[in-house]
Amino acid sequence: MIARRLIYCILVFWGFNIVSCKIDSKVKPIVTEDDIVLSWPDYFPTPVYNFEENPRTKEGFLLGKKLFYDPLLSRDNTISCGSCHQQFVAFAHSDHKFSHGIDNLLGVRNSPVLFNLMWQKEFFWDGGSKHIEVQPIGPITNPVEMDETLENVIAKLSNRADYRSLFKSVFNSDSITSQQMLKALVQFMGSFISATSRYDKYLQDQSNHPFSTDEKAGLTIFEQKCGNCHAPPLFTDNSYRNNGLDETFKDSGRFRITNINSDMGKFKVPTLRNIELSYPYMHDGRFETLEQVLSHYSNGVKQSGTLDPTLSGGIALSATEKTQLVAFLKTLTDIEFTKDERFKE
Amino acid sequence: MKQFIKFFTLLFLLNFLSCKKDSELKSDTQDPAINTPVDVAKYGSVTINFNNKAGSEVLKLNTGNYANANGDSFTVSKFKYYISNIVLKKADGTTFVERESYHLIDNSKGDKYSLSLDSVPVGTYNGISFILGVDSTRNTSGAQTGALDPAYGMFWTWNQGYIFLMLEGYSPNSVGFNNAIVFHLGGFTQPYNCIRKIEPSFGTSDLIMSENKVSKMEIKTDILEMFESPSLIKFAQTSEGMGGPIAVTIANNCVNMFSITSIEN
Repeated sequence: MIARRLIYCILVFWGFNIVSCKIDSKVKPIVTEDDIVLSWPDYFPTPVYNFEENPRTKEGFLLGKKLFYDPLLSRDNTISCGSCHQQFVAFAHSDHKFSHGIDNLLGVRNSPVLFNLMWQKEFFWDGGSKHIEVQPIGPITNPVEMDETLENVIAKLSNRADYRSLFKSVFNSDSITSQQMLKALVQFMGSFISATSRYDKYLQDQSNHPFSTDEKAGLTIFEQKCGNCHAPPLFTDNSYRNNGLDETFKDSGRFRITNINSDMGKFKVPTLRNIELSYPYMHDGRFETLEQVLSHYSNGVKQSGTLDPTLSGGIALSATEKTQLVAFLKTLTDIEFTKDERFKE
Repeated sequence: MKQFIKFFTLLFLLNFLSCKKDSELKSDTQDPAINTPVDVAKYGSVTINFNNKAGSEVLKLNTGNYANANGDSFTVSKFKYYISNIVLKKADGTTFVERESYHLIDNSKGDKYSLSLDSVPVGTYNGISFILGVDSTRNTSGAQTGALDPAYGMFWTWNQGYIFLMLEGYSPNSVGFNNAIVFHLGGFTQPYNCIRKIEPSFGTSDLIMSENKVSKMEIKTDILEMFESPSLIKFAQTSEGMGGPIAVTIANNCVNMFSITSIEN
């Protein structure tokens, strides 16, 4: 009898443990180190950034979170990272073609989603940032975003007793440095993992998380016609391509970084995870709906010298196929991620 | 029954192991031991001074008036540069490599920058090399500190990476806004890589490192060389360059910018 109970106990524990292995959306505040443990499905590749030089701790995560939502990082203390990266739309800027930064100035590119950053080698639409830790320097110093200097940010943080003690508890040093601030931000932002969409559940357990007929058909079309660039499981191949939006370029895109003519008008292939939430679309937010995006690919592609060869004839898509594709794209929405309490302001 | 329990316990433990956790982090603090051969027990040190000049004159920000090789007069409001990866060489090919070798020289803090290399194995050195700029590795290794703290403003924020050399000022010949001249050298990828390895000649002197002695080396950094050869820069045509082809042209000129003016042993 006792033995049977013991077995039962072990079984329950075991089952529990399996559940904890998956990324379950934690609806409790951060209490212990276990609450910030990162995990991801085994079909994800090896991360680019592995926190080896920036060991994650509960305190570091919480400090990063405080910084992320603190407008102190901007020149007039009005704009935080979270102003233009909102959790409920997967950390994009909801319904904003361009974001209004400091003094209500408008940016020139659409605010990107923030998740699965551990797998990203380069950042910004043009890949101008080559490392997750230094990426935040871009928006912090951009004159139309937060327009602040790192020097001032550090001075402001150093003037605050709460930050002094938080930094000391995380980095065990008496003075605050930009390196510490940037690493703390990454401890928070780098923890955004979106891998609990219906698509993921379908991949892991089709019988309990079936796709509708349209979604299934959409997946097949996606694999044939989109997956080359928007390669699963991250739904991007991290390349830069000209997807035929324009014949001439108001924004030179990747060229601005490389100065190489063949990069003119190219932009990073964005992930399609949470694409339903992160409208408007494209680097300049010109499309409002997924239907508009698909119409662009089927009959709106414009020719130019750097147009991606795979798009030279557009992508043939019937009306039904478009409906099916949209149905599939919506399975990439990850509500558990967008509602994860750990990331809430 | 016991075996059954054992089996489940094992599974249970295994399962724990299979959980991916990132909490067990290794801190990789190992540095390759490059400059401490075991059989060398004696060390000396050397002080190296970088002296910022415009030709023969000491560089004075704002007040100094200079002329480039084309005869364009100009003043300098900012002059800063990174020297990194300093290596001393012996005739037998062995080298001393400074660890964490990153130095930001900022003329607003003085026209002379002094650094010292300690624990240099004794012997006769006949060569030095360093990088003008920051190696590509540190440009892409995340948030840095010390001389490489991006808060020093020698970091491009939109095309991220270090500015290797910054010279700003004014020239009546400049076609730029307010007659400004603005040269920011940076970029570490081809074809616009501005990293330059500098190997100024020792001439006939040697640097002799002896135990308990501090040698001294004076290096002149001549800003006029930036605009002279192999490519003559005329401010009426070229008054601004932030990375890209102009920066590369000037970086090529910068190779001639450093010279050793004296070595005292």
